[in-house]
Amino acid sequence: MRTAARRLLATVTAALLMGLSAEAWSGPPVDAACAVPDSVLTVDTALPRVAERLNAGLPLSILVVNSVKPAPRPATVGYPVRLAKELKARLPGRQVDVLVLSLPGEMAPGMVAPLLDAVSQQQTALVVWQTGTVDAMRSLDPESFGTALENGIAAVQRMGADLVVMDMQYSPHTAQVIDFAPYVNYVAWMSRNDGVFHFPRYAIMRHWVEEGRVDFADESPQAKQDAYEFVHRCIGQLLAESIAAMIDTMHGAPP
Amino acid sequence: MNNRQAGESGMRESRTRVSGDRDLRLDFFRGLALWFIFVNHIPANQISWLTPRNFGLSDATEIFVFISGYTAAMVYGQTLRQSGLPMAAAQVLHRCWTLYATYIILFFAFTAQIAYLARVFDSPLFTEEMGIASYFQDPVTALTQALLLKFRPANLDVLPLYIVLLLAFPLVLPALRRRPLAVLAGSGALYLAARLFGWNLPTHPDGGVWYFNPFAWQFLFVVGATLQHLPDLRAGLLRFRRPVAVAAVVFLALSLFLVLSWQFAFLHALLPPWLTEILYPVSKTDLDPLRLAHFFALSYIVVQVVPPGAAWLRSPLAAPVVACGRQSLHVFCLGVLLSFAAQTVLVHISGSLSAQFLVTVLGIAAMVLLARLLIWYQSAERARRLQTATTRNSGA
Repeated sequence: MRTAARRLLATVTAALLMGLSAEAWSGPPVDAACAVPDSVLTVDTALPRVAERLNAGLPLSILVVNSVKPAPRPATVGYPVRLAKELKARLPGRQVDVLVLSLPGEMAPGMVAPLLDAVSQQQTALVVWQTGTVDAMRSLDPESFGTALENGIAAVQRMGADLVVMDMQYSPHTAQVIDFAPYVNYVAWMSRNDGVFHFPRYAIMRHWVEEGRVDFADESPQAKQDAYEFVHRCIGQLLAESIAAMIDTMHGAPP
Repeated sequence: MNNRQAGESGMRESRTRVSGDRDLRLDFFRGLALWFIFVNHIPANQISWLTPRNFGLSDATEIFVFISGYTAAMVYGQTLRQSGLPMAAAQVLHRCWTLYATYIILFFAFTAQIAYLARVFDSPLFTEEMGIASYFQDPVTALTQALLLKFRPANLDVLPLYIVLLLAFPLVLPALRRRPLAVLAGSGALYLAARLFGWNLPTHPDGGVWYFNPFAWQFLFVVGATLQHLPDLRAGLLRFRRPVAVAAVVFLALSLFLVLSWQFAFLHALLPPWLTEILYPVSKTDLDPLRLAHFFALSYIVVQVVPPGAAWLRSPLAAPVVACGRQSLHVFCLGVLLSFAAQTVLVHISGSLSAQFLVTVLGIAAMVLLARLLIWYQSAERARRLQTATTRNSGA
């Protein structure tokens, strides 16, 4: 009972802080077309290790780890580049570096070792771990997936960095032939238990599709290009917004 | 002695079958499970909120697998007694063949869908992460693997599970008749070993495992079959005892809370972390003991609430469900195909709430229609055969 009251108080305080900090941000707000309701995306965790580093005057070094294949014909810029830009706009006076580590076709268990190598080499403050797609496509045992996730999270935290776990892309068509749900659920559980922020890309994209903001079934090359553009722009914005909010609640306004 | 007992129980069963006095609860709850499985396997369908998986740890799959084990022991056990093992095995394999044909049809539907995806989703957005087109880089392997049951139809994996469980059943059947408890113990040991050592069947592409681990799920199937063989044990287990009933209700309430906490963060916040640490993950793949316990608690309560001869089971309202449960094999196969078709309609034509409602109602109506047709056909065919036999006899 008392714990519940304390929790409630903490939530209210966090909400107040977020409200205050939102006004303090000089960065651009999230585009109306990208925005999702709180039921889809809520920032309810913090980044204590990032805050510590920023307090010590270190730059915000972000490592994006994914299983993306190098595109034969490069599209426009993906979300990591946009993330850097959006974060700089939201955290004026901060040095923000975003590095990308692509491990094409790799499942979560195979991502852990190279991910940790990169974190120790780059002195990363924040890891954005994008995973689950290959695991779902190859129907890896959800428990092996969960174990890899748990080990990776614990190891990164021991190295003094924070994590954001990003789940899979969504479209109703791909969801019909690939069963993503067990893996998305695992990411949700893991992040809840380990106090790690789960960036719900799957739910966000689903919301966009259901709201009719994007149509993945349009076959024209222009429409495909537009969909890429839209998704990466919006993911970049929402991710930057979430990270900035977490830094702000923990850290207070930047000097 | 044993033989005589078996013979007697066989006679009793055939009598009950002839008089049409079979336990309607089996048909009703299996029919209900089939409806739920159909609805649950349309990912875009919000009506699936009404199905048991959102109210407890176990879901329609457990009901279906358990009752299938129970009725398999009943039907093939009777054949075994009357006509011997070759006939019983042939009967089981005949069923498997129907399931396998359904699986192959489903594979074609999936391949068509993937071919469509490979074309439409050859976009910068999806190729970089998913590479759907790679499904077709090696069609020979893909097709061969599919024939070997290694192709895993997303959301519909209960079909390959059912095939494997039935395929193995002729091996279990004779042992079940002689030493049911030994079979149960063996099955339990396999269940524990599979969970302990991580045994499972592989899928294509390599590296994956079956979503429903047959080494784990066989246990529930065998529990059903054993309980069918041991009426005394069954009656003993199911007798009303207040402490058991209270424990079962408390367990069901707790799992309801647990399941709701997955949906509502404020409920999840009430759970102490050490508890979630112990409980999770509640594996569906390996049939977590918590799921089993939930299913047993649920069955215990349902059996107390619904007596064998409950009048409402014979009401016109229950009749469509009972019909589906009675023709479960074909209705199950149709349901699997209809789930895929319904999802395709929702994705490609309209995903509105009314469309979801419409495909659900039409799908269930189709399942009921098939069940009714089959019941009519079987009784008409039996009458026709009887007639031919009598004319032949009188002619001779």
